[in-house]
Amino acid sequence: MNVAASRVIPDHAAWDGLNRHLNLVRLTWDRSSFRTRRAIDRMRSPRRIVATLLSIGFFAMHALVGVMILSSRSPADPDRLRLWLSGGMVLYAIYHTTKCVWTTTQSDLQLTAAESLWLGGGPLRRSSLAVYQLGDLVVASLMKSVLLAVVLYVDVPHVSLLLIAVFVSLLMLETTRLMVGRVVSAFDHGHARRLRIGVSLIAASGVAFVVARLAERTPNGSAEIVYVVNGFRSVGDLASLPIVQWLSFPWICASRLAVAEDFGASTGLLSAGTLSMLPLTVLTLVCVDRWTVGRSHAKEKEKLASLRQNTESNSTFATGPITDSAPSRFHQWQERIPTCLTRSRFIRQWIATTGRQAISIRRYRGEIAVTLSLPTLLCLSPLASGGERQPWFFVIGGVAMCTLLLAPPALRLDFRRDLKRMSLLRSLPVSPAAMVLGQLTLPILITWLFQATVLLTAASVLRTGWYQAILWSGSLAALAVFTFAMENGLFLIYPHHEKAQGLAMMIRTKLTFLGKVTVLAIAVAVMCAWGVATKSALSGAWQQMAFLLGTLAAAWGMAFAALGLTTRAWRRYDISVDAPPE
Amino acid sequence: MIDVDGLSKLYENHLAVDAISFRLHPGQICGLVGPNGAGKTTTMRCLAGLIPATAGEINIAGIDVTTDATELKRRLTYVPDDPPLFDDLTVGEHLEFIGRIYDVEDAMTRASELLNQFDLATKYQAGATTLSRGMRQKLAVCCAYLASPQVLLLDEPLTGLDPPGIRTLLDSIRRRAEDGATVIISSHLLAMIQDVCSHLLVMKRGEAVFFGHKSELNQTFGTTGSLEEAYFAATTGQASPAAGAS
Repeated sequence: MNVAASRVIPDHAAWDGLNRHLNLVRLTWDRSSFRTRRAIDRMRSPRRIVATLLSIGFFAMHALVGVMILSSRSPADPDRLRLWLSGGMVLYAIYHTTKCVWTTTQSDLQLTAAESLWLGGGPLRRSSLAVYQLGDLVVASLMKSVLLAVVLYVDVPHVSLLLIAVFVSLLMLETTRLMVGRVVSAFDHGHARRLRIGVSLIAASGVAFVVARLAERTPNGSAEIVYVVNGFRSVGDLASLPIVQWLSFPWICASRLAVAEDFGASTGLLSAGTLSMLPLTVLTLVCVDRWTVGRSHAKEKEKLASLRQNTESNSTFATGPITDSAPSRFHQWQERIPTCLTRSRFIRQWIATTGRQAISIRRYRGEIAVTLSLPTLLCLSPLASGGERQPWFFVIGGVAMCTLLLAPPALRLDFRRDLKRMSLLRSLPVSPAAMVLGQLTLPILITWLFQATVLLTAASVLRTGWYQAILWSGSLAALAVFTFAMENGLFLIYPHHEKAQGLAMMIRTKLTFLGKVTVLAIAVAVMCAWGVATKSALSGAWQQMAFLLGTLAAAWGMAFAALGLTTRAWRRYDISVDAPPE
Repeated sequence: MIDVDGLSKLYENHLAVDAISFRLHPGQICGLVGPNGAGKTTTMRCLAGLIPATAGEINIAGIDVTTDATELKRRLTYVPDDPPLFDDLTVGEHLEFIGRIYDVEDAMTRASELLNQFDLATKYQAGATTLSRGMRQKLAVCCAYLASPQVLLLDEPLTGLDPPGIRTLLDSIRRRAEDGATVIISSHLLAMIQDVCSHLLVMKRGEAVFFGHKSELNQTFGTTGSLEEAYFAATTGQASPAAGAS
């Protein structure tokens, strides 16, 4: 057997030689080339031509907005921008940490199954895997930097320095994200719970600061736009806090470089400082990873020793899988459903599909509660602002935005998490409509619960009356159905992996966001037009009744149309063509 | 060679492998058999350095897994059941990459020979996603062979292969062993592997219920027939249904 013993690297070395890293760069290049070729082929295919045109339109619009509109605005205060850049990164890191501590499964350096086998099982050190993983993020960070530079170029003297600063900052942020994931994975249940409480308290205090500052600087009954502008200012205040700025020390050089006036010696030093943060961050990631591996292993050893001790003192040591033949709670609940309902095959299929989702919801109930509690508080925050009618409309607007933008990513417990199980789902003897309803029922019910909590609280505090409560709860409930149906419909037409990242995902997110905002704007415009039309034709209670019924009919019509579209998308879903590569 | 002493692996509260020990020398082929959930794959993954063992010592080709896992991985390759491949590389690019990271001299010539041997030569430019289950298995085996490892771990390698593919693979395993490699092959297809294996490791609920030369298996469990009969005796304490019927 041919083994190159002369090339053995001593184990105490934490790093592979340069050649090994060049091999990994070549792998990244080969994979990127393949992906680019495949992306071009897919973009030109008739099935994806709409998405392609939308992406081109988005890029054109982004550039146009950058050149035509943003260039005409007055530049931001450089000091403010600097504080935003450094503090903003810390705020994002806190947000990610909060999300991470509430996530039950942490992936190992976000490696795919193929990477885990061929790189993790190959003659490579962990440090090489960490560097390789970051290398994969370079292109995405670069593209994000370019897009951000389009928005910010008017605020800085030198766009090239801004680009370098933003690129390094984003890459450091990604490294921090990987580090947080690794650290969290090393904690056992007890420590993880304490960490969860600590991090959540930090995040909650940040939110409380923003809300308090917003309430302090915004007079009661101000216009909506004042709240929005002051909201951003309050987040800026949070980013500028000394404690946040202290925490943002790794980004200090980059934030100063972004707003540097000239190319003098101090800018040279700032550039060196900024660029040197990259290897330092990578080094920190490698150290954190090594600590995590060591700690996890030590924890496992302790547990085994403790289990062996218990076995010696108690009974036999069960090595086989633990089985529990007791019926699940859902099964017990299912037994209580009246027989008249379960006589229908459609309803039986619907309940069975929903039951599978219920198990996941139960498992992730803590994360769901935390994710939705923050929007609930934010939506109710206008109640503190006083005024008579405006807080109610702020609450409505908040609930609509949260339903459209926050609920779908927070409640990803539908088709979007089942990509790897699509073959199995397709093989089940369940009708497309029952499958779609079964997949969407619980996320929609949870969103309705969130909406009802906010609307009932606001309506009882503001005493808006039954008319407003019925109008808005009915319309927003339809909006929830529409949102989840469209999210899943789009997913089934253009599927992606659960943890997919990169430029395509970024464009997709932005396009979806623009689409949702457009839908919301059109819905408001149609409602206004309907209001004017009913007012000119009817009066008094008749006008109110016509407005209510027309609005609800239109909203639910759209919701059912979206459900129909999703059912059609599921019927047309082709596992041999539509499943995206990993 | 492979030297394992007291290997244990704990997942949360489930002891998947419980203090197993065995030793294999160069040229030996060990069949790793046992019912589902016996701990076969976990054992292989620990040996391959993909997951750390909770306890025990693992020494592969003279390298201790805890002292130099990277060098150990250079001397060993592992092919799992239904091996994951890079969805964004072609067949040829997979082999080129393996050739580079294992520092294989004249990698492309050897890759070409392997592709011919496993009837994949026409798929050189094909993307991994276009391959069938059996072709993916063959490509993973080609990648593993390209590195010319001293130790070869194959987890259910026969699943998905066509009859000529099975014959080619079993022949190639024999030849690798004759050249001095140590091979562990896990499979439920007892009749397929009984001829190729020199040794057997029978696992049940994480424990090794038998390890030794295959000729000792019948003697240990008081059976006289095939590997299947001895397997049933070792794992269930009963003779195989087929043997009982006859």
